[in-house]
Amino acid sequence: MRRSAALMLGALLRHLVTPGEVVLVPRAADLLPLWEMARANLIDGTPMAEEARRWNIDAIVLGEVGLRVPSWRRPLMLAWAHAVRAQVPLGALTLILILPIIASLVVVARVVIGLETFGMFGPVIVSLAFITTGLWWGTLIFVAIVGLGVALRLALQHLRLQAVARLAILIALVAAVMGGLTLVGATLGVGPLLNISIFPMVIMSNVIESFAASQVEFGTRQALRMTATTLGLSIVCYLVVDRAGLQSLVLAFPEILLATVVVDVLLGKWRGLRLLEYVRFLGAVGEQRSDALAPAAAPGRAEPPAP
Amino acid sequence: MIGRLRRLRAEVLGLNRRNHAYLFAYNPRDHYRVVDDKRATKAALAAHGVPTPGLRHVCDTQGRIRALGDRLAAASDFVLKPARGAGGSGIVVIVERRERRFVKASGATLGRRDLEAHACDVIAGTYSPGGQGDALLVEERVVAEPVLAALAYRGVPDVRVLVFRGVPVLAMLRLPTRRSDGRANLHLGGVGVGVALASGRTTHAVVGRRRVAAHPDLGVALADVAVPSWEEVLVLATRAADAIGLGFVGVDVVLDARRGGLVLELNARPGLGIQLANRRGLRPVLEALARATLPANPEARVRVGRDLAAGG
Repeated sequence: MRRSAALMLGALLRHLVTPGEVVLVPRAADLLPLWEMARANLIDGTPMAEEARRWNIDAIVLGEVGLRVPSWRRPLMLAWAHAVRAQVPLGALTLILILPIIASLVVVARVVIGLETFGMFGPVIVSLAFITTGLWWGTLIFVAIVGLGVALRLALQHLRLQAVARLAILIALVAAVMGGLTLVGATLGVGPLLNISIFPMVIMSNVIESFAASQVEFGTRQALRMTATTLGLSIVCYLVVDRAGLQSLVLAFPEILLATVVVDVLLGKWRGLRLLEYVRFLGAVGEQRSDALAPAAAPGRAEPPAP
Repeated sequence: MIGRLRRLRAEVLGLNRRNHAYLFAYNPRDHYRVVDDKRATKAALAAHGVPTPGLRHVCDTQGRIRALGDRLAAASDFVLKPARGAGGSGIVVIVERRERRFVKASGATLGRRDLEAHACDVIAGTYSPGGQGDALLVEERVVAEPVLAALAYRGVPDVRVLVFRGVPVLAMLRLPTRRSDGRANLHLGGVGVGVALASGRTTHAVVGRRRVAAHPDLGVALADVAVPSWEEVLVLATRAADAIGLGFVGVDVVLDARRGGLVLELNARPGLGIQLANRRGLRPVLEALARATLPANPEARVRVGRDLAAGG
C-alpha cells in the first residue's frame, strides 16, 4: 500500500517536472550510496534499478523503462497534476482529504471508547492544525489560546453581555493572540508559528466558550478534564495520521474517503456499551443481587463525578 | 469477573443504546422543546392536572427587571430559575428575609441589586444552551417534606423516576450535598439513592460511581428509608410522562411539606447513573416492556411497573 502510494506521488512529480527519471528511495537511505548510484548511472550508464539493488536500497524507479502508474489510476494522477498547475497547494488538498479520516477517529473515541470532548469539531480541527504546526508548537499554541481565552471569558462575565457578543469578543482575542504569535514567530524565526493561521479562530473561540459553559455547569475540574481530553484526542489523531503516513495515502487513494463513510455508518449503528461505561457501571451488577445496602466505603470526601 | 462483565453487557443500558433504541424510537423530536422550556412544561402539566410548584412571575425583557425587583422586595421566600437552564444551573433559592437582605439556601445573603444582576444574566442567556436569550421564572419555594429533608444538606431532595412507555421502571432519591451546593443533580456531586419500586424503600447509595452507606455531609444512614407517599410519587411521574408525551423520560418529583407531590421538571435525555444507585441494569425491564400491551389507566401502569420490579 505504501509502495503504491509512493508510486502514485512519484508519477505525479515526474509528470509535473518531466525529468528523465524519478527515483524514490526510503527516507532512511544513506546519502553516500545515493551519490554512488547517481554517479554510476551518469558515468557508466548503469540503470538506476540495478544500481539500487547493488546497494540494497528498495527503490522505485519511474522513467522510460521503469515502473508506471496503472493506466486506470492515470486520470487521478492527471487531475492532481492539473490542480497543482492551477496553483492549488497539494498540502491544502491533503488536509481536506484527511479531515474525514480524523472525523472517523473522533467518532471511534466518542462512541466506542466513550471519551467526552468539546463537540466533534474541536478535536478534528485541532489535530488538523497539528499536521501543519507540529506537535509541540501546536500544543503550546492550543494551551496559550485556550488559557488566555478562558481568562478573558471570566473577565467578560462581569460585563453581562449577550452570548453572541461575547463570542465575537472572544474571536477578537483569539485573532490578537494568533497575530501576536505570528509576529513572535517571524522575529525569532520559529517556522511553526508562521503557520499558526491554520488554527481556525472560530473553532478555538468555540472551545473557549464550551469550556466556560461546562465550567458553569459541571465545575472547573470537569471543564479542565474535558479540555485535556480534547487536546489528548487531537494529539492521538495527529499521531495516527502522521505515523501511518496517511497524508500521502489519501492523495494516492482518495477512495479511502468511501471507506471512512462505511466505517461511520457502522459506528453510527453500533449500540454496544462504550469501553468507559464498562468501568462506570461495574458496580451496577453486584456480585450478588441484594436489596439491602451492603456495607460500603465509609463516608468521606466525595469523589469527582464519573465522566 | 468475566461473568460480571458479561452480565454488564447484557443488562446495563449504555448511552449508545439509549440514544438509538429508546430516545430515537420513543421520544418524538418536537416534544423535546416542551421539556427543555420549564414554562412550556408547566403549561402542559397544568393542562393535564399535574401539580407543579406555583409560578409567581415571569420576566423575559431587561426593561422589566426593575419592576420585578419591586415585586421581589415584598416577598420573603422564592426560587429564581432560568426557563431553559440545563442541569440545575442558574437556580437561586431564597429561603428568608433578613431586613433588606435575601438569605440563600446556603446561608449567604444577597441584596436587591444582586438579584437584579442575576435576573439580567439569566435573561441574557448565560445559563441556557444555544446562545439565545431566556426568561426568568420566579416560583414559590418548595419546603421539603420532613422525612426527606432529614436526608439532604441544605436543599430539597427530589425523586427521579424513569418512566418508559408510561410505566415507572427505576427510581432514585437525589440528595443535595455540600459539594452539589443545594442542587440534587448527580453530576454536581449529589447523592443518588436507589428506591425499590415495589416497597418504596431506599436500597443502595452512590456518590458519582462510589458506593456510600451514609450521607457524606450529614452522616445519616441512607439505607431502608421509606419514602413517604410512594404510590403518589409514582402515579404523578406516570401522569407527567403521559402529559408531555415522551416514551422514555426522567421525571423529577418533589414532596412539598404543604402541597404534597409536585413535578419539578422532566428530562427527555435521562442519565443512566440511576442504574448504579439501584445496582440494577435497565435492559431486562425495558425489553420486557417494549413488547408488552399496557393498560390505559396510569394507576394500573404503576402497578405493572411495581410488579415487574418485584419479580425481577
